[in-house]
Amino acid sequence: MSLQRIVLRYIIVTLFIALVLGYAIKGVEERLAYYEAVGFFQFNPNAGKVIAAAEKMGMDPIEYYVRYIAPKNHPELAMSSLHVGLDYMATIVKNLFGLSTQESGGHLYGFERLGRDYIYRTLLFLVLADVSVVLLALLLSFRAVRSERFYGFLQMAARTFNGIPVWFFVVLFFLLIIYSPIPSDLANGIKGSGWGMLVYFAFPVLSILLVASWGLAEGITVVMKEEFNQPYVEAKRAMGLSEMRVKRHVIRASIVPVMYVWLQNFIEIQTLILVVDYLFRLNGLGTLLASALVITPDNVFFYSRTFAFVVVVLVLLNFLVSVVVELLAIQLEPRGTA
Amino acid sequence: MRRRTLGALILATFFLFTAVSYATLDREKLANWDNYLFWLDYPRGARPVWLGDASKSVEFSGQVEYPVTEKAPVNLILHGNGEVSITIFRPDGKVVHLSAEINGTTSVNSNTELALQARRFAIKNLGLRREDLAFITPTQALFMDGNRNPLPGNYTIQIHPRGVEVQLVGDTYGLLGTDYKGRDLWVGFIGSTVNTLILAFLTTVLVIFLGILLGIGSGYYETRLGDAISVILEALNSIPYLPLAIAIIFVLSSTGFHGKLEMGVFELALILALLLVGKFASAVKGIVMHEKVQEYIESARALGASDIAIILRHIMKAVVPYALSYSTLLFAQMIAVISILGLFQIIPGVNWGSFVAEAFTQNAIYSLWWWPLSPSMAIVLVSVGLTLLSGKS
Repeated sequence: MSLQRIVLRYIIVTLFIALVLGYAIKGVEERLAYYEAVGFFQFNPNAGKVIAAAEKMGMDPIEYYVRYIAPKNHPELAMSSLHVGLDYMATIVKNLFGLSTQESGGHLYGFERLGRDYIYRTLLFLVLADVSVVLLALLLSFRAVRSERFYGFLQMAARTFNGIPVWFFVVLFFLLIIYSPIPSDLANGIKGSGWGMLVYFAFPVLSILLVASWGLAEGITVVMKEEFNQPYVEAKRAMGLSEMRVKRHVIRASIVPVMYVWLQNFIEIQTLILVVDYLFRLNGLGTLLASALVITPDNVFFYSRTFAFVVVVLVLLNFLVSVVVELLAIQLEPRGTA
Repeated sequence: MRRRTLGALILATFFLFTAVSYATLDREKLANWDNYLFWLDYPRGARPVWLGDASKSVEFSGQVEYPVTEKAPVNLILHGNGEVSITIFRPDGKVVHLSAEINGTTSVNSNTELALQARRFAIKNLGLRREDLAFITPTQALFMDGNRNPLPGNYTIQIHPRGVEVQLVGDTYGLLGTDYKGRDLWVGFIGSTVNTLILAFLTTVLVIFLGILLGIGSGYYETRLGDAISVILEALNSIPYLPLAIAIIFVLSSTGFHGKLEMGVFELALILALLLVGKFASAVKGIVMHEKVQEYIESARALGASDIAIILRHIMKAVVPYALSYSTLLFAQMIAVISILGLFQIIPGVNWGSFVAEAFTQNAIYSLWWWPLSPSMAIVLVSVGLTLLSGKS
């Protein structure tokens, strides 16, 4: 893996998201334009002229309105989907870094006001969950490297939890909170600020921990076991090095592949974070993502900007983390890089 | 081996249970799962029958003896056509007479004429006030005393003509009770189980098929095309799948009845497969790259074997067993993925995720604990069964 490849990967992801997003935004704008067209032909004194122009071109007047008149109020309709998507993503990046405060298109925002608070809460949750997952995974994998029997158990656990969605634990914890003396507040959404709100992350972090640790532990164990089977380990033992020093060499050599295993796990954990955030109402990106798609008995609303906000943050976060992992890998690779 | 047998046994039992339950399910109820008007006559938030309660649901025609102890029945549903008369002999000696013209399915609560007569009885004969009736159903009023408490004792209920099918609904209903919209949760549970399993199976098959195709394409042919496939697969794995799936499914679906997203099962499975194929395709690519440098492949090539022949005769021999053993894990994973997407209401139709999401939306987790717990138990059972079946790697 190289930095160029990472950049290329995220360019592809960004273009793909922009295309889908642009298509969705154009769909919403087009629907609005159709509603406007109905009003235009009912009340506007110029409606007759437009109907005449449409008939001249052999077009339906509403189609004519959407194609030639609506783009004045909805410039997105005259642009390609990719252009629209990239434009919106760029605006969100500018807003994120305080370079712009442009907030047009309220119908694309939804009910939640986009702000950095959502990002801070998600990052806090992500850090707490990931640190816990990594620590538990390291403990489990060190034990699995030593004991073949425990490794077998770890494999079984990793496979079983791979098929159990994180909401299973959320449901269990909700029931535990509701039907035990634990304060019910913990299941009713985040409250307060500062250190006080950390308690609301206890069960969400536990939910992630129970699902995500096993897979990461298995991945780390496989890497370490492979490293222990390398000929140089035998050579070091034959040289009379203590087992402690041999282990230190193995751990040093395993760091880079373990970092790549962690990176994949880190990306997978984010889906769990979004789900748990939404269910425990932690007011992070998961809550925001759920509010981007609202299904009512009569209609489906997709708030593209709210959605774009969540995706842009995730793309930026993963891009940064991938670059950092790659740079660290270059620094830490004991065998050197090609 | 014992583990595999146990896994197969768990899965076989579960699939058999699901198949039998689905075969005996009332299809009309399942087809109307999202049609809230259909469930107007059913009790809301009823407990499952196995929890045992004071007022049970009974189905009859003609006459029935119904004991009331602590709770009054909540509704009297009638299926039939023509003039119907209902006579209830109460333990306090009072007799209730209701009659109306019915056409199809109706109930004392939803039929305006019957509801009016029931309320009139409660006001005139029991001395209840109009405001008292705001908190009880018209059917419940027929089984109350003057203090708005259920009147205990044996009731005789007669329905004329005998051809009318009657359902006296207590505050327990079916194997999983009902939700706060009156929907039979057993129907939702079995329907969601079948939908989830079908979609997960189809997605798994497509992931295996596409993964083998892309893995071989990028691993065997080290060309620009192969490299491009690898980069695209890596790109799809470089951010969480959830937001991507939400956007793509929304864009490609249509909006149907009751604001639900609509999309064919195959199209949905294909989208999910394309989003989730990356990891499996990368693993296949690794196997292919390892195999293609083996001496026997070189020998086959020297003997004039074409690429297709080498792939089909030799490479596939290494890839297929891996794919088969991986498919059990993949199936479990797909169930988890689908249920997570269902939780965000992005998977059309009822599934385990949307079933649980509805429990959260209706705040039912605080009272109807069996509702979210039923798919949770099923998912654990399937996951454990598949893990045991897959054996050791």
